[in-house]
Formats: sequence, C-alpha cells, structure tokens
Amino acid sequence: MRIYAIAVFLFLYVPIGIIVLFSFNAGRHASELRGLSIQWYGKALSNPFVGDAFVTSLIVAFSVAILSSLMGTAAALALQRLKGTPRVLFDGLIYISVMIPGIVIGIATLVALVTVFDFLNPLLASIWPEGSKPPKLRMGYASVIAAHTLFTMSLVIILVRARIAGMDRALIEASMDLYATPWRTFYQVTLPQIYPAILAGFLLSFTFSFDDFIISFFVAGANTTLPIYIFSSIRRGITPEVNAIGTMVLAASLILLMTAQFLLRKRTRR
Amino acid sequence: MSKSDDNKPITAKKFMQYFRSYEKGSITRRHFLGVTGLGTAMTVMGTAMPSLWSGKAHAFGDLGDRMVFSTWPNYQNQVNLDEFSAMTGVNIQVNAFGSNEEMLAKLQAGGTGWDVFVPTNYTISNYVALDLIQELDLSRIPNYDPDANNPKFAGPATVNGKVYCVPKNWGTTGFIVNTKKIKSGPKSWKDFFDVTMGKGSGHTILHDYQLTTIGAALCALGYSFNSIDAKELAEAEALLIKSKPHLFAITSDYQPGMRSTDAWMSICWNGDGTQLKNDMPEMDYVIATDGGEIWTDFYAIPKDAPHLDAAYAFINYMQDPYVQARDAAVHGYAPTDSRAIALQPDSLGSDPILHPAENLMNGLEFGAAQTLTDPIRAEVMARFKSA
Amino acid sequence: MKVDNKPGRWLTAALLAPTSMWFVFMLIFPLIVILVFSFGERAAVGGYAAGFTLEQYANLPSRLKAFQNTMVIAPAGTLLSLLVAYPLAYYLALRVSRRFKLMLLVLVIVPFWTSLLVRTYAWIFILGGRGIPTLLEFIGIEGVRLINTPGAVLIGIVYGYLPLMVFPIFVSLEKLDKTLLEASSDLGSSPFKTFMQITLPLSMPGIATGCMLVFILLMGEFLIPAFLGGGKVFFIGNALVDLFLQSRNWPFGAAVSVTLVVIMLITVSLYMRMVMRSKTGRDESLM
Repeated sequence: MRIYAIAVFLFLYVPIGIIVLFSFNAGRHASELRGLSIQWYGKALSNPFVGDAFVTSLIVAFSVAILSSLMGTAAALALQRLKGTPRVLFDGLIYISVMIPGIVIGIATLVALVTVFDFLNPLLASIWPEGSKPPKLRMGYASVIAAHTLFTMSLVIILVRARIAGMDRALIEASMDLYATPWRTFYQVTLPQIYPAILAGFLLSFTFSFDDFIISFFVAGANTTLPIYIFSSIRRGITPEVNAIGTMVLAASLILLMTAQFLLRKRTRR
Repeated sequence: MSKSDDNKPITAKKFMQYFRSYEKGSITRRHFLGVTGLGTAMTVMGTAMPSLWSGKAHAFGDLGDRMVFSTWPNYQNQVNLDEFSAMTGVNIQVNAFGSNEEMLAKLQAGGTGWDVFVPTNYTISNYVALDLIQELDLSRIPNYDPDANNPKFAGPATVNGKVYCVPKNWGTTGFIVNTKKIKSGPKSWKDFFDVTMGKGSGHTILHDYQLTTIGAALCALGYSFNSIDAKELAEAEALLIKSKPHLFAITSDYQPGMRSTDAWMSICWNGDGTQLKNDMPEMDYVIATDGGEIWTDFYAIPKDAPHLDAAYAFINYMQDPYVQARDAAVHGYAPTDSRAIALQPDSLGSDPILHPAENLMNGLEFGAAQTLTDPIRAEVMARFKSA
Repeated sequence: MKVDNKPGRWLTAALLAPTSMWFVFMLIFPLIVILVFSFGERAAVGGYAAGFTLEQYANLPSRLKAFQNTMVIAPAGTLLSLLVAYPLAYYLALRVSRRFKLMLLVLVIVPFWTSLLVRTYAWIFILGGRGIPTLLEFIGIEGVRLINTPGAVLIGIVYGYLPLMVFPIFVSLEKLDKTLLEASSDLGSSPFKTFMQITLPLSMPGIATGCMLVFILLMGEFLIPAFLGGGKVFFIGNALVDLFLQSRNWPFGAAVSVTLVVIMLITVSLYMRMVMRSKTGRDESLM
C-alpha cells in the first residue's frame, strides 16, 4: 500500500522535477539541458507581464473562490428548505451548470456577451452626454470571474449539500429544542459540521480558477491570466522562463503549505 | 527643479550604457556571431541616426510602460525588443499565433488589447473591409521609406489608396527535410506526400493552418496553391485524409518536433528553415518545384489599440534599417527594405534560403484574399483535422 | 415545520437570490443564445449571420471522429484515473496518521497549483523522442512512439485529473465510521470482504462524484489532446476551438456545442440513474 502511494507520488512529481530541473537550464531551448544557471528566474521576475498575469490570476481565483463559497453555501443551506417545483428547477440548474463542459461555457459566454455588447454599446453611446467619452462594455475581469463562478458555485453547493446530508440532524434539533436562535444554531452547530466541505469547496474553486485555461481563453478579453500567458509562451517557442514561472508558483504553494502545517502543529501542541 | 531632471528622457551616456549591455547580451548568442560587425555598426550609426537619437526627447516622451505585440513563433530578435524597452521604458508582451485565421478570429471577437500585430499580405484587404485595422499616419513612422521597398512585396499594404501597414519581411513556404533520416531528396510537394506515406511514415508535420497545408496538397496534385475550386479542394482533402495516419503531428509550431528528430519533414517557412539549419546542418530547406507560397508580413495597428503612441514608436523603431537587419539575422527572413538588405553581411545577402534564385520562385504564388476567407477551405481543413 | 413560516421563506429566497441570478445570466441566457445561433448561417467573412436553417446540424457527421474520440477516451480516462486514485485515497484516508494526512493530501493537490499547461508540457518531453523512447532503446526496444498517440493523451489525462479524483473519494472515506470496519474485522470478515461489503459501498458517493467531475472535464478537454495528441488525437473540444478560432464558423460551432451538451445530459442522466439504482448510491451525495 505504501509502496503504491510512493509510486503515485513519484508519477505526480517526476514531471514536476523535470520542470524544476529545466528551469535552471542555461540554454535557450527548453528541450535540451546546457549547463545550469538561474538567469531565467531573473528574466521571469523582471518581466512585468509575468507579474501582471500572476496578479490577474490571483485576483480572479480569489474572487471566484470567495464568491462561490459564500453563494454556494448559502444556496446549499436554503435548498434544504426548498420543496416542490422550485427545488426541482434548482436541482436541474445545478446539475446542468456542473455538467456543461468548460469549453461550452467559454464559447456560450463569449458569444452571448459579444452579442449583448454589440447591442448595448451603441445604445450607451447614444444616450451618453455629449463631450464625454461613453463607456465601452467589453470582456474583462467580470466576465472571467462570472464564468468561472458558475461552475465552482455549483461545485460548492454539491460538496456542502453532501456534508449536510451526512450531518447529525439530532444535534440541530437538540439545539432548536434548547431555544437557541437559528443564527446561533447555524453558527455553533451547523457551521462547524459543514466547515470542512466549505473549505474543500473554496480550495477546489481556487485551484480550478487559477488553473483554468479554456474559459479564460475565450472570455478574458485583454486580460492575461497566468495560464494564458504560459500558453502563449509555449506557442512562441518555449523557453525555460516558463519552467521558472511554474517552479516559482510551485514553491509558493509549498511554502504556504508548510507554514500552514507548522502553525497547525504549533496550535495542537499548545 | 530636480523633478524636471527625472523627467528628462534618457541621457546620451545612459543610452550608450544600455546599448553596450545589450550588445553584450547579443554576442553571447551563437546566432549573432555572424552579425557582431553589424552590431558595432549599429552602435556607431545609432548616434547619428536622428530617429533613434535626437528625436527621442519628444518621441519617447510618454509612451506608457507596456504594449502588446502579436506575431508568429520564432519571429523576432529578442535583443531588438529589449533595446526598444530599454530606450523607451515600454515593456513588450509578445503573443505568438499559429495562423492568420486565429488572429482574425481574435480581432473579430474584439477586446484583444493588442497594439501591434503582424498580418500577412492576403489578410489586409479583409481587415480593412471589416474595419479592424487603422490607417497609418506615416509621418509618425519616419524610418519607413516607401521608395526603398520593393512594390512586389509592399503593395498589399495600400488598400483604396490608403496605407494600413508597413512591411516586416518576406519569405517563402516550402518544406524542411532532415537528410540524415530521409535520403531520397524530395524536391516537390508530390515527393513530400509520397515520402510521408512511404519511407518517412509517422514523421511528417503539416501546419495547423489551412492556407499552407491545403495549399501544399493542391500543389502536389498539380493545382494552384490558391485554388477555391470545390472539386480540386475535394481532391486535396482526400489526399490530406489519406496522409493523416502517416503524420507525426498537425501543428504550426514545428521547430520543437524537428529539433527533437521526432519529425523528419515538415511544411516550413524559409526563415525557420535557416534557424533549424544553423543548429542542425543536416536540415535542408526545399522550395518545391511544383509550387508553393511567397508572402510578405507587415506591421499593423488594430482599430482599438490601447497604446497607440507606443505602437507607432515600436513600428518606427522596427523600420530602422539596422534594426531590420539585426532582426533578420535571427529569424532568417529577408527584409523587403533595400537599405536593410545592404546592411546584411555577405553570407546572408547571398544566402540561397533567404534570397532564392528567381527561377526557383517562378512557381510560387502570393496567397489571395479569398483563400483566407473561403468557407470551403476552412471546412476542408476542419474536417481533415477531425478526421 | 418550524421553518415553513414567512420570515423563513424570505430567508430562503434571499439565500438563493445570488445563485439564481448567476444561473439566469451566466447559464440560461448564454445557452439560449447558442441555441439560436446554431440555426443561423456563417457570415461571408466568418462569424454569425441570422437565419433559420438546419444545415449546421446536417453537417454534424463531418465531426463524427472527434465525437467518437471523445466518447471513447473520456470514459477510458475516467476509469483509469479511478483505478489509480482509489488506492491512494484509501491509503490517505485510512492508513495514514493524522499528522501526515493533511500534508499528504495537500501534496496531492499541489501539482494542481502548477499550471496544467506546464505539467503537460513536461510530458511532451518525457514521452517525446528524447524521453522514454530513448530509455527504451537502451534496453533494446526500438521504434516506440508515444507522443501524439491516444496512449499519450490517456497518460496526460490521468496525470492531470488525478487530484480531482482523489479528493472526493478521500472525503467520503474520511467520513466513514471506522468502528464499522473494526466491527467487521472483529466479526471475522476477511479484509477483502470488509472492503467489498463496507468500505467500497460507503465510498460510492465519492467515487460517483469524482468520476463525474473528471468525466465532465474530459468531455470538454482541449489542452491535453492539443499538446500530447499533436493535432492527431482530436477531441470535440479541439473541434470547437477550431471552429471558433480558425474557421470562424460560429453557427456550426454553436450546433456542435448544443450537441455536446445534449450528449452530456443523456450520458450523465443515465449514469446517475445507474448509480442511484445501485442500492447504496444516495442521491444527496451526488447532487
């Protein structure tokens, strides 16, 4: 069992090892190793577009994760109380939004927004006071975040709902019987129980959004997220700069992980 | 007072410092060995060049700090881009595309954020018709000299008497052969497909680009590269689908596959042929005897370019003959500008891949505007890919 | 009973409002637009021209191979991911001490934080001519080609989506009441029997969720076939990107999208019915 786990971890990490190794490549082509150097880290760090793309991705992923965990959890809780046709309708929508492939979401959102913008922009321009420049609706942060959130929000609903289903109902009833306010019941009884699911949903939403290429590719407009930047770099003839970026993102998440682990351990010891 | 000092454009001394450091950067590259002399000339001339030098105080005033440049893979000298950034403070984001269709699709969807892009000759009238590119104000591109450019190449830039772009360079579309792996010496597109389906099975790359891939198949069948005849296209489709099981890949980024020797043969643009041959002498670039493409790429500015000043400054910089020559030394395509050609080292000026003999080019055609937009061609390519 | 009062109803509505808004503007509306477009015509220079024709749907057979590829490789990839992921999730959930559990779990997710693009690119190198085939030549096996084959795409799929499969299975195994397992072995059941009768059925919801997630993402996959299939292993996703970004045939792209959505609806409904019919599948865990 343990050997198997080690094998799977190797499978997961050998390609990453290769990425890291080649990020120290002194040569220009990513496919052949020609001595070691850290020049590509310097290049990546001094490249403002890498920084821009990283920040864009972080903003998008955080917004998506926060929006989906809040909205998803709220909806999951409310759905417990919903019955009849609205319930069926909602279940259907959740089901469809999770099921539709990202590429269709990307394309449908693009086509729909382009159509709406083509209709609204002249309208806006015509009613706008003369002399000032009318605003122009276009793809940007809002469209990516909204498109990502559709999927991740439903993901959170599913995760949280599964947790609620497996939750001990007796506790809630006991709390109610003891005349706790609904808010208190939620805060002290429900939330601690569904918390792991919300956290899992948050993490999944974040990673989904941070890593998504295809939806962003269609609806990000002039914004460049990290995956879009990397895709473009690979197409322009990959240089070890991309490896350096990948390595830095990996290192950052590892540091985060270790800090979290360290803090947790410290707390449990106390 | 000190504030106004900060705002001063780059000083002469600083400029030379920047310049030298980038020269150093260029010398370490193998590709540049042949052009170091050129680089030195550039430094000397740079001081005397009005466009690069004295005009900078105004021209480089407030260009912002970034711009987006959409172009093709392996198509620019990084040293030029770095130098432009160092001189103007404008950082350049380079996007690489696989086909003109893809650029067109992006521009049609809108909101690209591009400032400068590199369309090919046959696309320009389409862009103008769709109102996607700007008419250029040539007074802002003083480095561009219309008289120095061969009208055969520069012609498509002018639509209805208005100039929409300036030439970057021209080239041919043929194929590249790894002669260590394929010894039969294919000379035509017919040979190309025969070898693909014969001895070289599993090791050929076709472009992910209808114009060149369908064009190659059409030439192999003895038709025009530009054909939009339904019957001829159906035959080309049949040939492509028949060859599909024998392909290594369908991709416009064929250099990695050729370099790793996974692929032995690929449709190829001549400059990429030079780049490959520089590193691997066994690579042979072939202009097919049964036809092919000759083309010019241009610099153009999309209608909604967010950094217009930077875009003009960049195009003007890239039109400088020395910069052009230095660009060509890396990407291996021939400038259309006679001033730049004059600056090329003899080895490049007489290079048969860069400047093929006229008789070899007789069979080559410029791509036609309707070749790009023809719905049958688009659909044939899409069917071939999903076959 | 207690919640079925008026303020409760308002609260429910308020909690559902943002989600409903999202569904209307980001799901229903775009899908209607796509449906309308799928009956239109391709404009002369590409894009969409209004019209009413069934031409786009009649042209669907020209993408048969892409549909076939997707319909074969997506389920195969899902199954393969499950087979690789389950033992790992089991190990993490039941065999690892609390102290390392979180760390190992995050280690499964961390690769997910490195761009899928970069990781897939690493596989181009590993599977390419200078990677594994060269190693195989050393031990005498020659002429192996991995890159740009369905096999390469499958490897990329398992690699890319493993964390997504491990996570839900882990969650469902984590939830599992360990006293049940102990009781089972105390009653003399063999480990295999315990697994088949208790662990596996109870982890079904996780398996179902994981498989569905991976399957859905695979049905729309674009990157992995594009990188590891070299344009030769073509998915619907690739055909769609092609239609929108190369041939600019929006109406046909819309028709292919609609068809893909319909196929998804049918397959996933059948799948869910199957899961629910099996005695242990609990619908709450799925949906």
